[in-house]
Amino acid sequence: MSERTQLDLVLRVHDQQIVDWAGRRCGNVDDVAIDGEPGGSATVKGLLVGRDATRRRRPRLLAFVAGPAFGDAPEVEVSWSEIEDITQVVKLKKDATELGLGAGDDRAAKWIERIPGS
Amino acid sequence: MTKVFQISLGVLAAIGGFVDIGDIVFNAAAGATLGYQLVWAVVVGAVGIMVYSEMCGRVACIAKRPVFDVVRERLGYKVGLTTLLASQFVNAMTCAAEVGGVAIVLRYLFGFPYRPLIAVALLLLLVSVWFLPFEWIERVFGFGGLLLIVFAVAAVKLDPNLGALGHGLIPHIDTPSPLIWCYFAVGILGATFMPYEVYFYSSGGVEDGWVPPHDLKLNKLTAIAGYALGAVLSISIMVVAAELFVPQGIEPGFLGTVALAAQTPLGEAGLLLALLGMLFAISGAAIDTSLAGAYNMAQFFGWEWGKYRKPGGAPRFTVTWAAFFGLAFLVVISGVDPIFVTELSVVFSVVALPLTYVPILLVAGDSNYMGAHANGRLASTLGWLYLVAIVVISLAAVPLLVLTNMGEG
Repeated sequence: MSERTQLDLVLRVHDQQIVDWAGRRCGNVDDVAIDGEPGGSATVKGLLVGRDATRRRRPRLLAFVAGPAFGDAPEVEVSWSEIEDITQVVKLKKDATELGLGAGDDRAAKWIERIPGS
Repeated sequence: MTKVFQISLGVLAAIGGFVDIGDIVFNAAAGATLGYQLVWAVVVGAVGIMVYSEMCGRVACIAKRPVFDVVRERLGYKVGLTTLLASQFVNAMTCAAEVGGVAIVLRYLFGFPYRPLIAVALLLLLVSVWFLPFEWIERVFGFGGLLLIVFAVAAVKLDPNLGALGHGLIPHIDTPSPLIWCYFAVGILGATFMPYEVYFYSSGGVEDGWVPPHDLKLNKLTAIAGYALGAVLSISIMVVAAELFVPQGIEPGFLGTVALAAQTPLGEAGLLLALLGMLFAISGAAIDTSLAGAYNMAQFFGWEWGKYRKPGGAPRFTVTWAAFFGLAFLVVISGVDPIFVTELSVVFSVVALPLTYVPILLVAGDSNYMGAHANGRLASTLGWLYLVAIVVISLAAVPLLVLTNMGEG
């Protein structure tokens, strides 16, 4: 894989919607975890999802907005081997909950399900 | 009949964009102050929002990407977050104005005090969005809002000066106060481009499950027919106000004054239809803005979303739209004037406007993304022209608001 291709890969997946095997939306790609050293080869370890993964890209003045994780884990690393396909979205091989994603929706669902018509 | 129902997304988006509480009063004030001089602004605005709605509907159809998905991807996290904040503030303020507007119309219809009716309005909206599927929200509030066609009938009955109406299609200043003219022109154009319309429209395209190639035609038809209807309603209100209020020197500052304009030529039935049309249109706009706020949050943070699911299927999305209604209730119950709130939201849309429309234009024109369905020469040219207009509107809105004392002179 050339350097150019690696750069394209990061650009390609950054900020993309992630869906689990069943099509459930369960986060966006907030960062990419890359293993390697300057001058050496680099390997993509996986995708980072969650509030903490956006820290470096968060505008300082608006830091308070991205503070809450809205019930999600502060940061989840999804191993590259768990990715099924990359199209308009990043599709995972497994269930979101199994990978630690979408916890905020799972929590909110417990409250919403108590209301008639939910 | 099915074909008519298919364009209901465009009708609801346009009703919310063209004849919400702010637009109804603003268009009537423009007609009462300047006669037919700003008919062109409605037409120019309508063509612009048709161009951009068609684009974002096409992106939703081909790439299944609604606007805020595209905003974050194209502008990045930092600028995307700024856009999210600005647009959510506008959505919340507009939603508050609409909830207040629904309560005002209920007061005109039933005569009960205003404040308890704010709670009734909140309950009606919450129950509607909770229980009605997306397609029925589109149909009930979109087509219900079309009762405002009563203003078109009233306009015809008033036998308007067609020469002056035609002359109004050409921009011209015929007033001793050009700044007031500019204020109303920028206000009409700015209100037409309020960003929640495209958030709602593009997400609605995904909700309706649009797939190419069939739904590309439906998208075009929906955008053109929906916004054309909205423009006709806007112009009708302007015409009625010009015919009735200019001779008597009336400044319509209230919804009720505008509704009375339908009573003069059509009697009590006209008044009732005007009020019912306002009730549906303003409720539709309240739903547009609350759902737009929930779509934006969910798309920016990657949550599950969609009204095509039951509320429990997209829990944080559901909590967010309900929270928008709750926040709107708190704002209006505090006693603030809904029409003032809506004018304030136009000011804050200054930040959100260009940051919303730039990514739509970039993605719709990207052949890597859209393949053979990328913008052609016409869409591209119109898109860039309107983008320049949007930037000018954004820059001019606040100074004009201050210089003209919100159009009061």
